[in-house]
Amino acid sequence: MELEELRQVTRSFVLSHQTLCITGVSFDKRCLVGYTELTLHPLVKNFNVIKLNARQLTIYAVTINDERNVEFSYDDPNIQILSDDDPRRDLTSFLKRQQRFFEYVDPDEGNGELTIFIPLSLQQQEQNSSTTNDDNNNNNTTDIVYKVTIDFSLEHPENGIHFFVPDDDAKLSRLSRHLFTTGHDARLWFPCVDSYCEPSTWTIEVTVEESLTVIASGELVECTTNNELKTYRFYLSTPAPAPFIGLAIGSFESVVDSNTQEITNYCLPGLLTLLTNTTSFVHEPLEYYEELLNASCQYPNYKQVFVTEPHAECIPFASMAIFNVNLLYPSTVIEATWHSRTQMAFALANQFFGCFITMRSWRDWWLLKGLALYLTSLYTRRAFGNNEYRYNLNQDMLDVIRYEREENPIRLDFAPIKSESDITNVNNRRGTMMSSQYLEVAAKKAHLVVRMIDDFIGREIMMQILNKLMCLATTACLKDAPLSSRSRLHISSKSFSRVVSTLTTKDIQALLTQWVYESGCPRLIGSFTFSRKRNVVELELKQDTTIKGSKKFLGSLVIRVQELEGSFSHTILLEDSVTKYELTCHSKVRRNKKKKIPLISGDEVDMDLNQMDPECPILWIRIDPDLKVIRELQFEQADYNWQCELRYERDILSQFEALEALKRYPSQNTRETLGTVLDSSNCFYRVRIECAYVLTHIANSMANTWTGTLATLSFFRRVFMSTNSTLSSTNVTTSSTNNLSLTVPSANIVRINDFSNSQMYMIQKTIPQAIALQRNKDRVCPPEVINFLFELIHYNENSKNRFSDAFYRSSLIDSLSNTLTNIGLTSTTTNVDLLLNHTLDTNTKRIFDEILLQLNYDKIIPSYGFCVTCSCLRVLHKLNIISGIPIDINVFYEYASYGMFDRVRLIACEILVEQIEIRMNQDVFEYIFNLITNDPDYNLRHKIIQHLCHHPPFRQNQTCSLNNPITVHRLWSLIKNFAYDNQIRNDLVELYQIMFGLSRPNCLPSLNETNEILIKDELDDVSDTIVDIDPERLSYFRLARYADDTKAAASKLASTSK
Amino acid sequence: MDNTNTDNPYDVLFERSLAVIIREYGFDNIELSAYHQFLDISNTILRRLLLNVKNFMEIQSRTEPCPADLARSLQMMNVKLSSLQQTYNHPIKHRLRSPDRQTETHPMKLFRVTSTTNNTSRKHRPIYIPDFLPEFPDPHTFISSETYADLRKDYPRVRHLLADQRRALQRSLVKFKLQTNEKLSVINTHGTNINDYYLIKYTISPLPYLSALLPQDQMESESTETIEDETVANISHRTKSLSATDDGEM
Repeated sequence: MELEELRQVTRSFVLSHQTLCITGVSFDKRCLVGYTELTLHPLVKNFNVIKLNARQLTIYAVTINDERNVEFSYDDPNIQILSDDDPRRDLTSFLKRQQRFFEYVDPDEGNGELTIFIPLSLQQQEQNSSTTNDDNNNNNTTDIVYKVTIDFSLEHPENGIHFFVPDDDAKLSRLSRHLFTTGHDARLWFPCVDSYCEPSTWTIEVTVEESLTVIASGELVECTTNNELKTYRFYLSTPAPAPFIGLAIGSFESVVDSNTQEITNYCLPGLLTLLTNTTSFVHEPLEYYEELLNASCQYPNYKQVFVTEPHAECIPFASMAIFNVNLLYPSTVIEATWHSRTQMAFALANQFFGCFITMRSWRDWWLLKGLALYLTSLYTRRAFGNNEYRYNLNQDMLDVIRYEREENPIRLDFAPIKSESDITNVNNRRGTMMSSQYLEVAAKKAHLVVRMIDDFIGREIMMQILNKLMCLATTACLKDAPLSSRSRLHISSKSFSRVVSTLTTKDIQALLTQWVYESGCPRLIGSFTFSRKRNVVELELKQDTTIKGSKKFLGSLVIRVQELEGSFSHTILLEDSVTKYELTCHSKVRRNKKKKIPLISGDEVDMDLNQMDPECPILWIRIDPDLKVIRELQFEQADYNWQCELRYERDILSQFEALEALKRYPSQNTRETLGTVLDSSNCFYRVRIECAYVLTHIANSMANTWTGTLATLSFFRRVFMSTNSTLSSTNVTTSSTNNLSLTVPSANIVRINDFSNSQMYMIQKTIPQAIALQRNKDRVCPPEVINFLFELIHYNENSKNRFSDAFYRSSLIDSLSNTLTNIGLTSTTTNVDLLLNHTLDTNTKRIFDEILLQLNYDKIIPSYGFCVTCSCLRVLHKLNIISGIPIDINVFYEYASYGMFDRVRLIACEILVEQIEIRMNQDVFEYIFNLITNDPDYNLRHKIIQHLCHHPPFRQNQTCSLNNPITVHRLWSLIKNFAYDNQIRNDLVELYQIMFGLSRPNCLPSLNETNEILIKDELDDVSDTIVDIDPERLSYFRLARYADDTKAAASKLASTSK
Repeated sequence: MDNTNTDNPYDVLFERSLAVIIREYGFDNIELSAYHQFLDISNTILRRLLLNVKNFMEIQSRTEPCPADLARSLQMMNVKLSSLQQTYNHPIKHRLRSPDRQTETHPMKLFRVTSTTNNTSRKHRPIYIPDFLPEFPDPHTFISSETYADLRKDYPRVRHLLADQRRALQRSLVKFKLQTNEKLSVINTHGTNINDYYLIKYTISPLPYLSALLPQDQMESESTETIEDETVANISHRTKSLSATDDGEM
């Protein structure tokens, strides 16, 4: 085991300290100039070559220990990964080649783009000293130190560092210029060992104009001013690997956290009030994590920087984090809070697991991601409540299952494929070559797996383990700690499971095998019958292994049976694909139905049991109620059981399950139950909202027999609208649904907005959308509903409200779009006037007018984040597709152009992508390609490609006007051009796979056999020049985690070398 | 009004109500001594009346007076009940206008900017002008025309008005912007038709996030709030000043 781990890292030296000095920054030329100095300790005897990572840099000179102009070679194979003359255009060969190139420069394989040849004179010195040392002590060879200084510059970086330079010369625009690191590809902006398992201490020195502020990883130790130039010097005493070194330069405004002096927040000029509001809570998660882990954060301070156009919303670095400026929100906006706080809590969790304790290799990515998300969710659970936590957990699980079923299997350990013929999918590869969508879902799965481990070993022990890891890592940060102890700063799946097995007696290996090393998740189909004679529940569970992405699950599962006498849990063991269980029942069928029924929560409730099967004391059954297994569940029980479960069970997941199931049972009883739950104020708001949707669903499926108003509508009228003057106000709160629905609707006006109760606000905001989905017998939205929505918009009055109604307004516009139905109105007339004034349905016309008004008004008086504009654009798109209004494509071009707010741009681009999918418009396709190639906002490019992957114009070589050689060449050259942005390249490759498959696209003419042979993979014979490694020295540096382990490893090594 | 010997709240109240009655009869000013005489007379009359009522009550061996007692006492004091009826039915000519009656009886004066927007000093004419002469016209009546706005204030109507105004504002603002700015046609007209569907063309801003993250829509309400606060303050100030002038004139 240890040997294998050893082999993973085959670098021939150890980096103890690195100095990064940026001596000049120019925003006009978009360049950086500087040098870096690495302090290296060789691990091998004949140390003659140093391999470092560096891309898109210009290297001027290398100096080693005062030996100037040392010979070096600089070669980036990823640039030439695709040559234009490769006529094959198939992904299989491309992927093979890409993988080989990644290995060729992989620092963990001892490789790199920059090869420095150590001059002979220095080598001799070393040999001399080592021979003298060898006499005394074998291990005492650490005093040979190489100081490698590299002068470099970075010009017009495509990735790694992003320069934000507004075009105009206004004062505010000049002040807003800034630059920042875009991700964890450190090699893109300075020469380094770009590995997650090479932590070192850092000195970062940056010289900038006086007006600029520098924020970098580490503690600011010195700041000197000289000739209008300011030099910031940071020192990071906690060892961190190069990918987690962050930098941001700009005229930032800052605010120090009022509770903790260690936290400082920075933002662009003009946003200080938002910054203060958004970051006011940050000390809470920090304190929470420290208390939870019983360990303090190892960085002396923590900085949050909010910048524009970052590549992700939240990028954590050592002792700092970079966020998208869009996360800032004023105190008047309600819904932004959840997301922003979660992102910030996540960045902070990374200061413990992620950046401080890092992954050993990409194969352990899941563990660190999972741990950080796990900590984040523990915090959000505390901050936003258990219901919200469970809801998010369930959503994550559904996402994971959906992805496994529909897209690709998720294997979390990212193991390299053994044979290259196994490439069946672009995501089935090394960690750095995954598409962003895959990584996103994999992160969710990683979180669920860490949670499973937590369940398996218990929360308390889990915390002990995390505490242990933190403590071990902390000792490695001490000043006099040996370099070898730094291996404690990174963990792997194996080391983690070892720690678990030493601290507990439990072995998580089986769990890891099931969920990490293999992909797939089980699909359980269950049903039950009650045998009165024996008083047992006969439960049958089947595992469906035939569908895609499924996997047989063996292990224990919790079944919770709610009986008349209370709730009882049973643990069963799943062993076969079809298993039958007999669960003893604790209750007798009783005659006296008045008695209260105890629930799992400890409450006792009265239930109306009249409809219950008098022969069966089972109220409902739940399988795996606490989401302990990643599973897809399909459980059969009678509609009465589901109604009961929805009405009385207090667990929201159970209620969601029941709601999902009740969609299949449209009946009067269901309708009543849904109405009651919608009404009950002690229900979680998301349940009530979902209830509204299901109610609409039921109403639609019962459209022919439906009588009366939709309960949702009358609920909304009752709660959010002013009543007639004839009705006393006390009547409002107590009266039941029926007698109020009789009031004349036009007399009701929605109350002036009061969003002080956020749960009610969410309900008020979302319910109109659910109502708008109602359809009558003719499959159109009833005019009553449309009028209702227009009244809401008309009478919306926010002047007395403390909160902004921007999202409420945008939600009302979304509701309008929900009313649109495709009723076969396919007017082919090109006469626009005729269409708009005569053919078009009056309600559609009304909606169209309203959208234009809102869109224009939002331009004059913008809403927060232009959310109203975003909704309007979506409706315009829908009006175009469904109602056939010929919307000019220029409208979307206008909103997609650079200079608009990025969320609006994203929506416009998504619409354009969907237009391609539907209309196959070559010009739009060209426009989107241009955006992907040239747009300054990288995040937008990512998002467009991801959306293209979801909505490709065609799949798998389908016949389509866009499926032509031009598209192939265009996409191919895009893949070729994105040499520096792996993520975009990976996403593009995924798109290529979706559109053309892995082999040569069908639309291209087939190649001659002879030709194919001629195209030799000239790169096949790339031979790595990995130097021999002295295993003893390696073990000295790498294996010092546990004394026992070291001994074991040493003895193993000794035996193998013999 | 003389305030030196009026510690008793009853006296203060009595004096004031009498003053109001006098004023309702059209006396804008009165000499202090005459007023005191009035005060004494009415006091005495009332006292007398109450004494009589008390006596009657005791004769009838009751503990609480009833209307019949009052009627008999008034008769004893030579007041004809029919004349009381007449006084009650016949309204005082110069009664202060209550806002309700004003809207009903004088719709012409509705639009007239009275105390709400006008300075109080302008409203009251000097004493030397007899009251049968018409009021001074408001300073800007010459630009106003007759309106028949319905000022009845029930909740739905107010909301309706507010919503209408807000929507009209939105519409006209958009219309104005469309006329002054460059615009973009929403409908793909294929170059044939002219249509009415336009969007305001966007002017590219170098820092688009500023306008998005610092929205203005909430500002609007804050400013209206301050205005409303101001109006409330104005109203209370005005009522204070009103009572002050009344006092001074009495």
